[in-house]
Amino acid sequence: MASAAYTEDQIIALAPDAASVSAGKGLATAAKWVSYGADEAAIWGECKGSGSQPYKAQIDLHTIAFKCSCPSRKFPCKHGIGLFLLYSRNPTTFATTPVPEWVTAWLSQREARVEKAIEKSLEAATKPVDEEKQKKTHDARHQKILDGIEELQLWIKDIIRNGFLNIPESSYHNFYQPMQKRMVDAQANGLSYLVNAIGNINFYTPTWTQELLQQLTHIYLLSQSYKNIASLPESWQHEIRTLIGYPQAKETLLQQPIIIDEWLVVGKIIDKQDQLTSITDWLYGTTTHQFALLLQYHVRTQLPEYNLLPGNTIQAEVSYYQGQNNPRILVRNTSTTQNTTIPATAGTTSIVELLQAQAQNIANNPLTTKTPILLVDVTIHQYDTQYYWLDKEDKALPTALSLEQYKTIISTTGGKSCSIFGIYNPQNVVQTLSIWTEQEYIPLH
Amino acid sequence: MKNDILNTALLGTAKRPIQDTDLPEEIKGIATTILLKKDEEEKFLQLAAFSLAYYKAGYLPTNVPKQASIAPIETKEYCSTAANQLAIQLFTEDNPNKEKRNIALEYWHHFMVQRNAIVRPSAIVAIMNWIERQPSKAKRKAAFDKYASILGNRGTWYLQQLGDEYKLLVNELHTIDFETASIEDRITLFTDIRHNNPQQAIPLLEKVWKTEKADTKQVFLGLLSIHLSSIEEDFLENCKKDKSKSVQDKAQELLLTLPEGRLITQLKEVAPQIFQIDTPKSFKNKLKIVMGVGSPDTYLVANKDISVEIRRFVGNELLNKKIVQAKGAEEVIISSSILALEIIAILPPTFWNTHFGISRQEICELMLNNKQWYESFLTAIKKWKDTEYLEIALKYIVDNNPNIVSEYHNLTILDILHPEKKIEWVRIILQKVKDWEFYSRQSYLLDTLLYRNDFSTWKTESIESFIILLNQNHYSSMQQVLGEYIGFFFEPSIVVVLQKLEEQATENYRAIYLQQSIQQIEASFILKQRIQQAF
Repeated sequence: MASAAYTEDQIIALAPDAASVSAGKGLATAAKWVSYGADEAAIWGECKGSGSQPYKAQIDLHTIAFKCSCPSRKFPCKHGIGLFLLYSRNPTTFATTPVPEWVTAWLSQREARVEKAIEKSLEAATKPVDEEKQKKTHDARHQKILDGIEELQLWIKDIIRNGFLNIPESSYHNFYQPMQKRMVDAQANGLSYLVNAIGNINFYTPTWTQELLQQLTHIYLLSQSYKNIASLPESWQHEIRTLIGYPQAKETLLQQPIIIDEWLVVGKIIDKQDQLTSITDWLYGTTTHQFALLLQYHVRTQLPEYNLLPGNTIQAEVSYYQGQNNPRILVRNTSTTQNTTIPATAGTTSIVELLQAQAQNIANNPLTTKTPILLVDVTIHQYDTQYYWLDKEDKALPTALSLEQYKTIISTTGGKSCSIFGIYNPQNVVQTLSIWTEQEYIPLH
Repeated sequence: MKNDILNTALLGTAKRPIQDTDLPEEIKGIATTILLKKDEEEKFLQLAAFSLAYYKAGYLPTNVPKQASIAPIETKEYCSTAANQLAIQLFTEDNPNKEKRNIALEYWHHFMVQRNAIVRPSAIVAIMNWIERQPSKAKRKAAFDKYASILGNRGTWYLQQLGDEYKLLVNELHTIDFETASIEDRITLFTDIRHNNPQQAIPLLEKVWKTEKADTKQVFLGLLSIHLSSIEEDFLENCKKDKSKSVQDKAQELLLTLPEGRLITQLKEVAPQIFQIDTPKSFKNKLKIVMGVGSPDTYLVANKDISVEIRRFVGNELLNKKIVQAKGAEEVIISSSILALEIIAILPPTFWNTHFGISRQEICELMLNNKQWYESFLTAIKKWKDTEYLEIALKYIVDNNPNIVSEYHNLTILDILHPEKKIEWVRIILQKVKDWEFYSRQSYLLDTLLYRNDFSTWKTESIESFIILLNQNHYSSMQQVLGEYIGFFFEPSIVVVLQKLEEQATENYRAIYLQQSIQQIEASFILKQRIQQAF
């Protein structure tokens, strides 16, 4: 029997759409299944369908991957969701043996595929490269980016020279779009992303001037740093390149030091845009006390490689991306998923201390925009229309919450203190992603 | 310094170049180097980036007034985590605006009350959001009252944290301002007043009457029927002068239900002149009520006011259509047979047995045997809520002519009975009447059968009624409701009975319907089981 317990919320979060949730719930009843079972590694079941043979659904519990013999193009399909829900509701009714052959075969295939991928990457890392060709390609791209940056800086300076006053009035909503496209052409996707983020500024709020200025100076600082990249130390060069939009090759990352830890999944952000979904998982090393960021992209009909469930812990070997304390990681290997609570020694109880650490972060890397934080023993308060976290010394830190999130917090904490995980943003506001009470972990959707 | 930078950003460096003013000591050195640059825009951008980082790094915690409120300790036990998880699922998925009530929710609530348990904190938001989704304040209040005991102390504490708009839920209904509240809330308040303090109703209505729309007036007049008494007679008389014909008719309808009202008294005087008992000449002949020869028309012409009053009566739609539209009181000519129908529908049924000195049983036989009169007589029973007469009449109907009650408007006569009695009669009628083709009739029967909330006392013999209804069902939408309820109220063995019915079904659509029902029943059984296991 698998030891991890999964909540319905966690399972529902994996569904591709509301229709799959609804259909999955309809299948989360024993009567719909011819047989079902589970062990430490997987859950499996045969579901009555419209065909002559039942559909074979299976879930790999190490990485929460799904497979089903039904013809649906959704991942996971309703059978996968239904089976997982059924398991979460009645795990004791799942037979542990025998594991069907079709399950063991699939698990072995998956394992073999992962090993092969690692081998391939390692092979690629050791393979001799045509340095001259590589340099030529690199120089061409570098020049393209520099050309783009020239135009970008000219554009920023024009805005600065003329002032922001007319921006909200004259079709402000798309004034940045041509430059965003230009950055795509220049192969500087990081800069393109930053220019595009100007569109997120709400020009009806009193802080828009500062937000716009902050964004423009950030872009300027990054682009200027790139122009001077040759004079910077190696770690800074990696940092700047990554922010500009250079990918870090998997084979290079595999050469980086391996960190082994039990990682607590403290927060998840899912951003769906058209066909592409980006999933940001924030992890906290229970031994190393380091944060790690797992960023995955997938198209609509696929699942990401790792389906991490917030509130659970995974044992994983990871390597950090290169840069100035870059929290992004490459997961090399994972094993059993377990349920756990936040370690007692994690985070800080003092908001003053937290802000001092933030000041140090800014001093170390002024290009840092969002930093993860763990605050312990804080209470939620509302003052006017703003929500705050208050520590034991009555120091307050503003937090961005929806009314629904606020309701969840007050109902589950009952006004008592809790621990929180959030992202500290440039406006000095915490985006709270999850809380822990004495009894449970609650992700805030 | 920060303001300086922001002002320059707004106006532009062309109009307002950045100045070396008011720099904090810590950054003066680096800022001075930046300020030496010639390019105004570059100078500004570097200084702005540097200064904003400086201010961000120096951000200090805010001081806000502390609200030291902690939820009180619970005195009841929490329900199991499985029951809590079910609550979140059921309350989140339910739509409070849908026509039928959620039987799974009722079933879950039944166990919670039985176990005297409260939900865990994580379910409070789902339940409170469900309460908030109720379509009116009054309904939200009613829902809160129902679930307050299972929300525990934290539920009430939670509401207090959310501000004024949520406080109504814990306050009294009478905080609703009758003059400004939504129509639905006003109706709820007015209904409450009619039940508890009926004398307060007319002064309240008089305040708003002149500005009310005709539709609203009709609704409030309808509610006056609760505890209607002669105190309201003057107000209703005035309503007969209203501009709206529908308001006039509604007022007239109500006046006709006042036993001691002017019109009823007059009609009671008229009736003996029109209706007489025809004494049987031999014991083989039955008693018969006959119309007084020649008298009605003559009487009506001489009593113009009465005839006009009768014509306005709208309680019986069928009769209303037949009445001759008169241009003035002088021209009123109503045929004696229509007059008879009107009088029977208006007067209390007890008038007849008292007047003729015969039993209720005999009156029912006389009235219900007459093809023209029986609907009028049933209308009178319904209007005067004479349950004793109704039961005698129903017995006569099911023994002699059960199809009389298959019409929807005749079926609704059962509404005057106590719910338990009503269910009992529905079961009897279901067995006697062979075809329930129309949706409205099926829906009425189903609603009646589903009235009961008390799961522990549900009688298993009701299944016969459900099966009849299921087997006669012509509507797929009703199939789901039927299946859902059967699944919750009965044992799984019922499926076998339904499968046999499905096999025997001669029409294809009926077999499909039954199959759908069986699927729904199975789904309900599983949900029911999950709820049972959770407790």
